[in-house]
Amino acid sequence: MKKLGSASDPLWYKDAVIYELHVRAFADSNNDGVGDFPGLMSKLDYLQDLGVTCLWLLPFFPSPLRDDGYDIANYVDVNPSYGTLNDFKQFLDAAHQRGMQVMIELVINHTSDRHPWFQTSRLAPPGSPEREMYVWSPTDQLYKDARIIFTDTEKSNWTWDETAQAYYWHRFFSHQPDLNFDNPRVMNEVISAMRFWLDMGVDALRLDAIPYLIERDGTSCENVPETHVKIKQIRAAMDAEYSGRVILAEANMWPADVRPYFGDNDECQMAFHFPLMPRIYMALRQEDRLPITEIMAQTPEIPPSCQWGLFLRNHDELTLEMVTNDERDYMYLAYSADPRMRINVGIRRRLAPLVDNNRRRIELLNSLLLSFPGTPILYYGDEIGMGDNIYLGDRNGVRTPMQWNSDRNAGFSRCDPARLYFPVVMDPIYGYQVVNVEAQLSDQSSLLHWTRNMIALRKLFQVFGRGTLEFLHPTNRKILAYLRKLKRNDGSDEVVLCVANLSRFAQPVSLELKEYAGMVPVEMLGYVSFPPIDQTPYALTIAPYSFLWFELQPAPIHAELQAEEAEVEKQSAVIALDVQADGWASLVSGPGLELLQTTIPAWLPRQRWFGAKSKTIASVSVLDWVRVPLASVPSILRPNGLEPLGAAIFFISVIYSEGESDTYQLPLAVSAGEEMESVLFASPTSVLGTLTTAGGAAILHDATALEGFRQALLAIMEKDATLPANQAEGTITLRGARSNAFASVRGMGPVVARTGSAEQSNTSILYGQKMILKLFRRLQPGTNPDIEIGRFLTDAAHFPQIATFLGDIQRQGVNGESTSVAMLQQMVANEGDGWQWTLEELARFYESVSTGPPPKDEGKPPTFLGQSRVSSEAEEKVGLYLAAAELLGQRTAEMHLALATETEEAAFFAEAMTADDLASDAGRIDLQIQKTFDALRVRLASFKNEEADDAATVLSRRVELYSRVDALKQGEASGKVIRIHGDYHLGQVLRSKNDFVLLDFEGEPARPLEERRRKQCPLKDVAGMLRSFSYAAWAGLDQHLQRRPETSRALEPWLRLWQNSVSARFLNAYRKTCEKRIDLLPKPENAQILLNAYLLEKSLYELLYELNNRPAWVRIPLAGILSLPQSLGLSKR
Amino acid sequence: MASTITTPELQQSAHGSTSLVVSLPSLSGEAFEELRAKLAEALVDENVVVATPDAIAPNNASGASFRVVANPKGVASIGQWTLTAMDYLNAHELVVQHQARGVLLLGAESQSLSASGLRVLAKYVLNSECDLVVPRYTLPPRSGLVNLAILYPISRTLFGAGPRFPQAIDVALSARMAERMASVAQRFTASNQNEALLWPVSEGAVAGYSIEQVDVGNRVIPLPLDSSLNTALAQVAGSLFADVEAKAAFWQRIRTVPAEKAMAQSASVPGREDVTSMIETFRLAYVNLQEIWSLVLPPQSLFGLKRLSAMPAESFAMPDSLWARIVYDFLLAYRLRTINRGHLLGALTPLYLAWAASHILLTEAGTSPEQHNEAQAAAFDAEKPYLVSRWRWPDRFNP
Repeated sequence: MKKLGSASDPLWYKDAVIYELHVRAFADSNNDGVGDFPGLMSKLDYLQDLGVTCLWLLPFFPSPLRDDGYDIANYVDVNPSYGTLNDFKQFLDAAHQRGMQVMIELVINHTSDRHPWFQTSRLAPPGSPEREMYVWSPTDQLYKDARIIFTDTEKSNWTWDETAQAYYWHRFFSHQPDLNFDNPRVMNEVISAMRFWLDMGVDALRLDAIPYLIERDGTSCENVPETHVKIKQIRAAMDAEYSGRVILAEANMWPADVRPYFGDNDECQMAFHFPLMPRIYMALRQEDRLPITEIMAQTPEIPPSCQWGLFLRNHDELTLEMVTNDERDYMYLAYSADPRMRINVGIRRRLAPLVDNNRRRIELLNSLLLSFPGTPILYYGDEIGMGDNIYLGDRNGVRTPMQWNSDRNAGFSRCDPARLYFPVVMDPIYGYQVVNVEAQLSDQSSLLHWTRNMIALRKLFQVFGRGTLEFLHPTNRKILAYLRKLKRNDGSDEVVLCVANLSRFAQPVSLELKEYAGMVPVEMLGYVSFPPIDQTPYALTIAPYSFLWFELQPAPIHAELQAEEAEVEKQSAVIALDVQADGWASLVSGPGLELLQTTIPAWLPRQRWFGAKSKTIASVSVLDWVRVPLASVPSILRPNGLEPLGAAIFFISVIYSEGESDTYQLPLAVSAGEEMESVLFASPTSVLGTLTTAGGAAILHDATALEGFRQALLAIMEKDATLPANQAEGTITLRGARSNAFASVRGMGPVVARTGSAEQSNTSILYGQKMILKLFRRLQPGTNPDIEIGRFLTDAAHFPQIATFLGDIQRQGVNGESTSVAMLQQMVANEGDGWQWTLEELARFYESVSTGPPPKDEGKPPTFLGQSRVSSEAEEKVGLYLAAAELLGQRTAEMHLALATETEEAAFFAEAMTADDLASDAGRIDLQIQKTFDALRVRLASFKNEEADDAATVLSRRVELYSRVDALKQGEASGKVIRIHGDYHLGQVLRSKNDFVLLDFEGEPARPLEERRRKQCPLKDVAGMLRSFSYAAWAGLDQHLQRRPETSRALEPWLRLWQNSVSARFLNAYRKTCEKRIDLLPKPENAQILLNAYLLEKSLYELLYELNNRPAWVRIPLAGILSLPQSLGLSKR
Repeated sequence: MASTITTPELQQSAHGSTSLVVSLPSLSGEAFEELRAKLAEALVDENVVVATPDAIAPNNASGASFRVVANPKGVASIGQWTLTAMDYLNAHELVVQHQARGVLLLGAESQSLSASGLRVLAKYVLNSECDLVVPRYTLPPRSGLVNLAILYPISRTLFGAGPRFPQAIDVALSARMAERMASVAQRFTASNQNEALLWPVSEGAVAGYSIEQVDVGNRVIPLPLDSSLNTALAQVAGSLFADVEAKAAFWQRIRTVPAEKAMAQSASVPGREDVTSMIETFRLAYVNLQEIWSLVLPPQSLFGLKRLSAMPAESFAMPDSLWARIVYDFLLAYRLRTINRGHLLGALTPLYLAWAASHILLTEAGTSPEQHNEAQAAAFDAEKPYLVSRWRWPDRFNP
C-alpha cells in the first residue's frame, strides 16, 4: 500500500532544515559497536528539539561497505547491521509523527561489485540484457576524455574482469561498476527500487553522482544530454504516483552546469551548490567577501519551485574540484597544514577543526548557511562542534561515532571499545569527554543551544527559504551584506538585511539603503530596534566575526506620519482649491498657480532627479499640460457629468537667477482619504502641498507615487495612445508608441509597478521584473538618442546585447517637433555593472600579485599597427578577465556593426568620413587642450610629489599635443562615421550571464542634443572603453592600497600589465569582429592616429573633471596622457 | 406560519438554499424551547436550519421560520463549558450538509442569550460581511478573570485581534472559517482529543479573515464540572500556549494592536471580597515553589515577587508589567519544556491568584475594572518585545 507523503506543503523542502546522518554512526541500541535504527529512533526527540525538519540518511542498504555504503549490494533491504526493514518503517513513522521528513539515498550510477546484477553480468554472454546491465568493453581506450575522480586510489576508469574477459567501466572505485543506462532494464530496476521506498512514505531521494549516468565517447562523460532524459523519466515516474516527494541532485559541478538538472521543474527539485562551500571558507580566511559574491553572481536563476541545497560540511571531503588551481593551492595551505588532512581533490576535516575550533567563526559560517538562499544541510555532530580523526583512512575521519555524553564510547554504544566500527574521537580538544551532547544541553551557552536557537529563528522567517538575494556593495570588503526579500502570500513583504564581518577585527561599514528610507531595522535575535534608515549611508560597526540580521520594518506609523505631515504642512500652504469642479485648469491660474509658483521652487531641489541644485530658481511657469486618465479608481470624486480628475503631466519652465532656464516635466495627481495616507507614508517627499477641497483635505503630489498613474503610462505606450494637451486640439499632444518587442516582453496578466530608487537624473518605474520606464525629467527638444538608438538597434538592427527597447512617449509640439518624455526598456538580469565587476576582479588580481616580484614584461598599449601580444604571465595572473575583455571588444564591434546597418533612415545610415569630420574633431580637441591646460596651470602649485611631476611633464608637452591636432586636420579621411554610443565606459555595460549588455545610448548628458546625435567615428567609443580600463586599474589599485598600504607603488608595473593586456585583448577582438565590414574603420595607420587623438581628448576631459571635482584622482588622467604613444604621423593625403 | 420539522435527513430541496445553520448544545427541554423562541425572533425571514443533538419532538408552537434537524454527532454532554474540537468539526459538517453560508455555534446555557444578541451574532455571517463573529458578553464584575488576566491580553497583543473573549462559548463562522476550524479540529480528533480547545480568533487572524466583535449583552457563563481553578487554568492556558507556539511565525510579524472600544459597565456595584486566602496562597507558594519559579522566571521578576510577598494585604498590588512578563516567561518555559508542562502550569496558579487579588483590591480602591483591563492589556503590548527577544534567544542569562 502506498503511504502519503508526510508533508502537507508541496514546497516543504524550501523551508526545511536538513540534518545529514549515518545510521551506523548515530546510536547503537544493541551494543554491537554499530549504530542502528532503534538507536536512531531513541534520538529522534533530540533531533526534534534541535529543530531540524528533515533527516537525510546516508546509505543503509546491504553492502560490503567498501565505500561507506555507497557500494550497494541490494537496493530494497536494510543492512542487517543497522536493523530490519521493519525497524526502518518504525523509524520512518516516528520521524513523521515528530513532523520530520526523511530523505534516503538512491545511488543509481553504480552498484557494488557484489551486487547480484554484477555477478550475473560477468557470467552472461555479451549483448544479453543481463550483461548489458553494466558498461563493458573489450578495450580500455573508450571514453578517454573522462577524468578520474578518485585520483588517490584509481589509475583508470576501466578495470579488467577475468571472468567476463572484458573491461568494466567505473567512475569511482573499481569495486563500484557503473550501471548501463542505455539498457532500459536498468531504468526499470531503478524505478522499482524508488517505488519500494516511496510506497513506505519516504519523502525525498538524494540522487547520487548523477552527472555520470551516461557515457559517450568524445565527451567528458559528464552531463551528457541523455542523462537529463533519464532523470526526467525518474521524476515523471515519481510525480505520477506520489505527491510531496522530492529529488535532490548530487552534481559536483559549476552552478551553470547544475542548472540543467532542475530542468523546467521536471528533473530535480533540489541540487547541492557545491562551489559555494569552499568559497565560504576562502572568504573567511582571506577576510574578503569576493569569493562568495563572485560565485553567487555566477549562480543562475532556477525555476521557482526549485531550491539549492547548502552545506558547510558533509560526509565527504571538503571538495576543491570547483575552484581554480590557485584557489585550491590557497585552500590547501589555509586549511590543511598536515598532508594527512588532504584526500583526492579536497580536505577531509570537520567544521570545527577547519576553523581552529573558534566559536565565533563557527557561528559566523553557520549564520551564512542559515541565511543564504537555499535549504541548509547540517552534518551530524557539527551542532556540538565535533572534531575528526585524520588518522583514519579514506574519509572516515569525519564519520566517527556521535558523541552523546562522557560515558564509555561517548554514549554511542555500551560495547567493548574495540568493537566500535570506528573509534570515538578522544583528543584533548575535541574528545567526547569535552565535546558531547549531554554537556552542551546543560550548558545554556553551548554551541548546541546556539545552533538550536538559530534554527528556530530561521524557521520563523519564510524569507530565508524562499526569498530573493541581493548583495550590497559597501566599500569595506571584509563585510558581506545582503538583503533577502520575499513577497508573502498575504501580500506583505518580508525584508531581511544580513551583515557579516569576515574579519578577525571589528569593522565599520556604511550601507546604501536609501531604497528603504523610513524603515526601521530590527535586530532579529534580540528584537532590538535600530535607528531608522534615511537617505544617507547606514553606518554600522560589526564586532570580529560577528553577524547581524535585521528585519526591515515599517516605521511606527503614527510617528512617521506626524513628522511627514508636519514637514508637508511647514513647507506648503493649505490652499482652498476647487479641484473637483475646475479640474487641472485650476492649477494654471488663481490660487492653483500661486500654489505651484510658491511650492515648486522649494520642492524641486528636494527631488533627487533635479539637476540644478546649485542654482537658484527665480520663477516657474506652466508651459502646458496633458491630462492622463488613471488606471485605477479615483480617490477624488467630481460632480456628476465630469470625467474623473486623473493625473496630469505639467510641462514647466524653470528660470534660474543666473538667467538660464530648463524645461521639466512634472506629473501631478491629487489624492484624498486612504490614498492620501498611503502617499504620505510611502512617498512623503512627493507631496507639493495640501489642498482644501469641497470633499475635504487632499494633497497635490508627484503622480509617480500612484500605481494608477504608473499603469497609465504603460497603457499609453501599449495602446499607441495620443492624449491632447490643454491647448487647442491637434497642437500639442502626448503620443505613446510601442516597439515590435513590446508584446512578447510585456506578456499577459497584470504587472505591478514600483518607483525605482537608483536613478539620479530621471525617475525610473519598474514593472514587475520585466520592464523599466525611464521618465526623463529635464526635457530637451528632439528625440532622446537613447530612444532613437534603442529603437534602431531593436527594431532595425536586431542587436541582442542591449536592454531591448519597448516603447516611448513623446511630446509633439505645435510644429511637429517632438520631445522625449519617457522610454520603456526590458529589464536585464545582471550581476552588476562592468565597473563594479571589474573592480572586484582587480581586487583579486592585486591580491594575487601583491607579494611577488614585479612582472617580467609589462606589455605595451595596443595599437592598430599589428596584433598586440599578451604574455603568458599576464594570461596567468589576469586570468578570466582577459576573456571578458575580449568578449567586450567583440560586443563593442558588434554594436558598431549594428549601428552601421544598411538603412534608409537618414539618422543612421553610415557615411564616409570627410575632411570636415576630421577638422571638427581637431577643433574640439584643440579647445579641450586649451581649457584643460588653463585649469592645470592654475592648480599646478597645489600638487605634490608624483602629481606635480606628472602635471609639469604634461604641460611641457603642450606643443607636441597641439601638433597631434594639426596632424589630425591634415590626415586622410577614411572609414565611416556612424551613430555611436557616445559615452562608452565600463559603467555603461552590465555583466549578465557571463556576457555583457550595453546600456544608455544617451551620450554625455552635459553636451547639446545636436552634438550627441551627430555621426562620429566609432573609435571614439573604443577610446572611451580603453580609458575606462585605465581608470579601473588605478581605482582598483587605490582600493588595494587602502587595505595594504605597504605595497605602495610597487604594484604599478602590475597595473600596467593589467591595463595593457586587457586593452590588447579588447582591441584585438574589436578589430577582428569589425573585419566583417572592412569599410567601417579607417586604414590601420589612420585608425591608430584617430584612436590616439580620441584617447587624448578623453584624458583631457577627465583631467579637467578631476581638477574641478576630485583633485586626488588627477594622477589617473595625467598618467593616461603621458602613456600616449609619441609617434604622431598621420599618413598624408 | 411555517412548520418546524425535526428530521435527521436533509430536506434541502423543499426549502431552497440554507442561509445559516445554528448548532445547539445539548439542552433541557425547557431551555431548548426558550432558545427556540429567541431564535425565531432573532432570525425571522431567514432560511435557517437549527441542529440539536437532543431528541426533540416536532413542535409548531413557537411559529419559527426555521427547521430543526437532529444532529446526532453533536455534543450531548450538558456539562460542557466551552466549545471543543468536536463541536467545530460537527459545525463544519452541518455547513457542508446544508450548503449553508455559515454557522452559528452556540454553547451551553445559550438560552440565556437575548434575541437581539443572537441576531447581531448571526447578522454579519448572514450578510457575508465577516468570517468570524465573536460575542462580547456583559459579565458580573469579578467573573471571567482568567480571560482578562491571560487570554484576552495575549490574543490581543500577539494576534492583533480585538475580541475580548477569544475563548467565547458562542461564535458565528462563515463557511470558509468553519472549514478552517474543522481542519484544525481534525488534528486533535484524529488523536482522540475530541475535547481539545481551539482558538478561532488566532486562527482567523492567521488566515487573514475578517473578525468582528459584537456586544450581545448578558449571558450565563457555564462552569466546568471540575471547578478546580488549577485544572481549568492548566487546561485553558496550556491550550493557549500551545496555540501560540504553533503560530510563532505569524505573531512575531504582527505589529498593530486593535483599538479597543470601551466596554459597557455592569450595572451591579461589586461588594467587598476577602482576598486574604488568595494572598496567603501566593505567599505560601512563594516559599514552596521558589525552586520551580527560578527555573522559569528571570531575577528581575523573582525580585518583584519577593517584594510582592512582603507587601501587607491592604496595599497588595502586582504591577501590570510584572504580570505580563510572568505570563510571557511561563509561555516561553512551556515552549522550551523547561520543566514538565503540567507542573509548570500548576506553578502558575498561585501567581494568577496574586494577580486576581491585586485586581480585586485595585477595583475596590476605585479603579474601574475596565480601566485596569486596558492597562493590563497595554502592559502586555508594551512587553511584547520582551517576549519576542526571549523567544528568539532564550538564554537564561538575562535581567
